[in-house]
Amino acid sequence: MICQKFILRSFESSNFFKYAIIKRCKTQILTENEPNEKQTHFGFQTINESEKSQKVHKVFQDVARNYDKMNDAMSFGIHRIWKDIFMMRLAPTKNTKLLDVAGGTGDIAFRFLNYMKHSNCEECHVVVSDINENMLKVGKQRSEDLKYNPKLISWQQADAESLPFKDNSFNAYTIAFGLRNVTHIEKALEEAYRVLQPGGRFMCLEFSQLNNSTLQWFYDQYSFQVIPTLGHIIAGQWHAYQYLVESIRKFPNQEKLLELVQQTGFQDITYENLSMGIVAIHSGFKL
Amino acid sequence: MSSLPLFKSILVRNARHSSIIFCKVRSFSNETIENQHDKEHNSSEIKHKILIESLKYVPEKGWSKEAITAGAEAIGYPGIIHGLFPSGGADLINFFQTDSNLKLVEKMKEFQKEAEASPVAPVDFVERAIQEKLLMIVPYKKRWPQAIAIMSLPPNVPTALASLLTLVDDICYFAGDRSVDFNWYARPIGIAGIYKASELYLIQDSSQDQKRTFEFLHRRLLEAVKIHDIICKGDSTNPDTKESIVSAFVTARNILGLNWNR
Repeated sequence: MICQKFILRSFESSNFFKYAIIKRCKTQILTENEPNEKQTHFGFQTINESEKSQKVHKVFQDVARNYDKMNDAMSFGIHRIWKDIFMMRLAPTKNTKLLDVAGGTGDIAFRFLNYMKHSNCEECHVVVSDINENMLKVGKQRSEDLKYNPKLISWQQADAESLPFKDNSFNAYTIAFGLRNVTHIEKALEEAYRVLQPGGRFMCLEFSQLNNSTLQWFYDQYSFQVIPTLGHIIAGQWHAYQYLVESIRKFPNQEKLLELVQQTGFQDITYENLSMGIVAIHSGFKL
Repeated sequence: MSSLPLFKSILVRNARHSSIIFCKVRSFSNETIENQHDKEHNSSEIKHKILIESLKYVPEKGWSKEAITAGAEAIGYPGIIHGLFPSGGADLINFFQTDSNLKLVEKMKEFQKEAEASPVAPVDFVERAIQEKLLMIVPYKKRWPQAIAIMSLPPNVPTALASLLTLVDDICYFAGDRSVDFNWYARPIGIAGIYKASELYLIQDSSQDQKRTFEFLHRRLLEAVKIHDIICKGDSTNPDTKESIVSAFVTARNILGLNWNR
């Protein structure tokens, strides 16, 4: 708490990074005692793999209520356009059975249902899954408020790394701003491959790396200086949003993620940069 | 800082409308392992199957994503697989053109065998080949204006030109044109023009068995022969103009990225 106040008072990046480094050192010392367990990253910190899901869980537990508000504030509303483009690329057809993983507050699912409004949508269905029940709660409430047909949408708490669905049970799998928070990306991808039927499509919308170093600098300044502050003011969560910007840096870039998607067995894999690579859409087919 | 949000939002808004400029689509190309080659093969086979099936739905649904969806569903794939063909209708048209070019080559080989027994003039051979190609379009006649419109969109022009040039090259080759001089450029261009004009005539032709289109084609070819005769007899083209025209063609071809692989 004292540290946090200290940071709030001085926004210089030097202090900010010092703090991050000190924290990382601390965790490293702590974890040296148990060398047997595998390590992973949580933002810029290195932690035990078993801890990550709990930590991520806590982050989203805390931000769930203000999640959508914060998305608008941080991206100036552009995240809505990214998600619109994402749905346009998927272009669901009338018998699409969509699984939206990490889709707690329903942004993708509602776009899907809006997209299907104009076509005969008797056979289409969307399952929203999220590991976090608080996020799902927000989504369910929104779904009721917006009066979506409850027959077309169902909610399921699930871990992306072990989905409680049968093999070949969906023909589209989307994960928007979720893959970054998964401990083992490969496992999540394998699960995606498993639940998709042949001909099904995997699509991922996720933050990525800019292809221009000057813009990356501006983007970094914005991310590290402004976003945690915004998070503190709007959601009262400094650390959650510090984690957000750090985890974006730790996530594999476009090419590396594409490689992971390919290794899982997906074919006809492509990626598309939006806003010069701030986010990227990765796509693959199970053939 | 205040200009950044504006800047960003403008870019994103643009990205939405002109995906060519701001959205960079790249596919991964690092296939070294053999089973990946197999998979590639498998994937192109599936694409081929879907497109063949989709053609059946073109008269009903047009050259569109919907036709591809219907085709895919007919052979047991989920409709969502249409994402394999990001250009939608254009991919379907391009497939049709490439496929019918290949079929035409087979036909022309047959014609050539027949011609060995009773020789025909090259111009008659060309006429027959173009007729054959036009007949392939007839099942999709009602939807052909849409195809022409789609292939006239700037992003599709290079592929459209490539398939047209392949077509006329094949026709010239089988008609017996092995020339390596200026005619090698002139003839295909002339034939391409005649073919395209006949195609346009065909769209509005309501006569029995496309009789009037074929008459139109016949007249255009006779004219072409006349013009050719005049140029040959006049012998007025000096080497400089020839050279500059030839280099213009080569440049244009390189810009379009047309190599001679089909």
